[in-house]
Amino acid sequence: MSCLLSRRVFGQMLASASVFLGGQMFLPSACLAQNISSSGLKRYKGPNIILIRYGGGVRRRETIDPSHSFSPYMMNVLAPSGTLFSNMTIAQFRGNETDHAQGTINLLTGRYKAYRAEKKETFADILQPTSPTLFEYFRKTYDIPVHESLIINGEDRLQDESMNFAQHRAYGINYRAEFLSYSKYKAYIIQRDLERDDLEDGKRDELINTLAELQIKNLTLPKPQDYPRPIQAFWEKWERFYKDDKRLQPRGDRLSTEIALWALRELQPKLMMVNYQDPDFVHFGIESHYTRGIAEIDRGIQLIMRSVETNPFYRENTVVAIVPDCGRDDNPLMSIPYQHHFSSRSSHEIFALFSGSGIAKNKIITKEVDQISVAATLAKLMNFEAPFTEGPVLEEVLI
Amino acid sequence: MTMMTTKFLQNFWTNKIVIIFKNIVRILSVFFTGFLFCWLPLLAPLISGWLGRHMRFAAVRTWAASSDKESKLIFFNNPSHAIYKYWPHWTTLGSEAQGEFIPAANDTLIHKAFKWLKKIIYSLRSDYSSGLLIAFNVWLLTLPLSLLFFLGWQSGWEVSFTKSYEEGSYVPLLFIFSISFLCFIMLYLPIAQARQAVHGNWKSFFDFKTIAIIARHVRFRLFVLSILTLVSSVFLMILTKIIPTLFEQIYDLDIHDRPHFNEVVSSHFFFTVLFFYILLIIIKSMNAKVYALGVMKALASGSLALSSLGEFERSILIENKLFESFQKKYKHHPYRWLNRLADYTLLFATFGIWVSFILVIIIGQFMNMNSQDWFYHPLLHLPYISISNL
Repeated sequence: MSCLLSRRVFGQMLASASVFLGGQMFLPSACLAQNISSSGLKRYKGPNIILIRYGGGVRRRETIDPSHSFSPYMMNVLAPSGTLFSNMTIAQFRGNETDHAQGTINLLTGRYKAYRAEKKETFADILQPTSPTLFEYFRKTYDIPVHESLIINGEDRLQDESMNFAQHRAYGINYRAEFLSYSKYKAYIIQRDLERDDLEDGKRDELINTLAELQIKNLTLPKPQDYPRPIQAFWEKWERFYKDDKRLQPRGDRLSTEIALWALRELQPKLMMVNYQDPDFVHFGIESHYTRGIAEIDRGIQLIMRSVETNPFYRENTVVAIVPDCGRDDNPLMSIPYQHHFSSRSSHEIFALFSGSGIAKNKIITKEVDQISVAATLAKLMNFEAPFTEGPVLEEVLI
Repeated sequence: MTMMTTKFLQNFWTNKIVIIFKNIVRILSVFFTGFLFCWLPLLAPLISGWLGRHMRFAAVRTWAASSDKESKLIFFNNPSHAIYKYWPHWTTLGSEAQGEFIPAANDTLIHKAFKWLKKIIYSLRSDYSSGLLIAFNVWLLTLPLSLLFFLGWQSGWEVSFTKSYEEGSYVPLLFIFSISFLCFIMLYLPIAQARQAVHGNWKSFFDFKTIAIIARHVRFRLFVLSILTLVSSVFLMILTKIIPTLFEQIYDLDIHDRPHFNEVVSSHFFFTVLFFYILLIIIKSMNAKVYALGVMKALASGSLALSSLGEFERSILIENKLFESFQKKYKHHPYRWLNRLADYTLLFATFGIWVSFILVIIIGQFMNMNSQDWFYHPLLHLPYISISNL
């Protein structure tokens, strides 16, 4: 009869116990009691937040007006399971622009005009926040590695990829979010390839030129080795799947959705923002670009929500917040009334939808609320202090 | 003596004042009748037709002004030429057609009224058909390129929206091609339109060789005309595209307060159309003068044969000897190569101005897109400004 506790099994148990107890000896006892990580920061348990910028500027009429909406999933499925603020506005005062970068910074910082132009470009200045972003508050409060706080960006607005941290002494680059976008991927593989010695001169020049083009609109393009390992692995895997060929990848806002889905699966971010942009093509006069753009965002939201529901990491521990960066015009003197740069009343009129764990269901709030309240509300949901935000918390979302 | 002087002065002033007053009334009535026709697209050909006659009259005045004093006096003293001194009236027909409608002394009142009505209808019908022919000819040249322009724009943004990288290179080519050819057409258009108006014949628009010869003799004036057209188009773009886009902000309006909104819009477009109409008359007058001078210079230099003139031109210039005195004072340029250099330089500069003209259209479309604006420009095709239906 053999002994149940063999010498080998006993050895394994002893080794495990010594590693466990030994490890504990070097941690302060308070860490164990308060769930604090080795870095001295609290561990974050949820809820995970997905902030969707219903971007490119959209009007209420084509999004949340039930009789004219091109966003059936959001209106018929998501809105009944959450709280809809149908009268959110961007404050109207001199110099408060209704534009994509500005709207994104309003959402990220919870303040108006909290930015400065870091680089002047002909049609699009590169703006950088001057007040801390949600990501910075989040990472300063909790022990969150950079690859778990992500911003997904589209192909068309590279200039927005400098909004992941603020020019602020107490916060800044150490608490930044990581951008995942086609331009970051492209810069990653170009810089990696440029380190190869066997590159032909012609090919090298071509890569250098492409990188230089990307750098015009990108304030930070880290070297491949400077990315955290999970991000490096993410792009390597992306490359194996899609190669270095734009034509193989989904295009436009579909690409943003695809990157977001990959990120949810591979990186499991706890705070993620997805910047949609396609409806903005209506600037150039083709109305269907607006309606198709909205429908594509709606499809993207549906896919993201499906991924959340099927992923145990996110299921019942995630809140999704959907907010446009700005509205669009409603001018009867224009045959295509969808500009947004000129501060018309309609371009200030947006909405917000919150849905998920801990969010009140089937509520429509019609009182006027402010876009900058979104940051304060998300901070409250994630239980961290955001001292520089200005908007009041939208208490109605809380159960 | 004093009494005689006073009486003379009194008569003089009275007559002068009456004449001036009559002229003012005449000009205002002609002007505002045209202004009324600016408001409906279906009536716009009437203005085109009338402007055609206006150009014809302006050309005659230029020919008279370019000859010596004596010839000019003789010309205008001829009763059948007196009408060319002024703007054409809406009921003024070509001198050859007038007689039919002049009431006879023994006509009854009803008969007179009937003839007067017939004259108005005949005149309007004639203006309408010539206006349509002017627009038709311009469209014949511009429409295929406008279509390419439109397709280039549509497909270009479609490629951008769908990220169709595979087709990305075709679109800029389509755009560059259509813009370049439209600019070449714009180099041709002013002289061709004036020629059609002066001849009163749509076929004259397509005398390519003659038109090129005439244009070569008035390059600088055509350059100035193109600048005037460009500046006018910029003002029109601001008034019809940019200000309507910013209406709410400029006038601090609530677009939901429709009665007040419509009131402000109506007032804005009233002045816009008025401004446009004035600009159009100025441009067309200048265009006619440039053409008239071009014809005389081309004739005087020997580049243009007398046989290339229309019947009307021959009767005014040759039979009334207006050209004769012009030819006497015309000086040939001593340095041919210098002339040619200036010719090409001005041609190139004018081409650049027309490129800017097209760019103004594109900027207007960026600000406030309207598909019909690819095919139609109020300064070129039909004098009508589209106002959104409120």
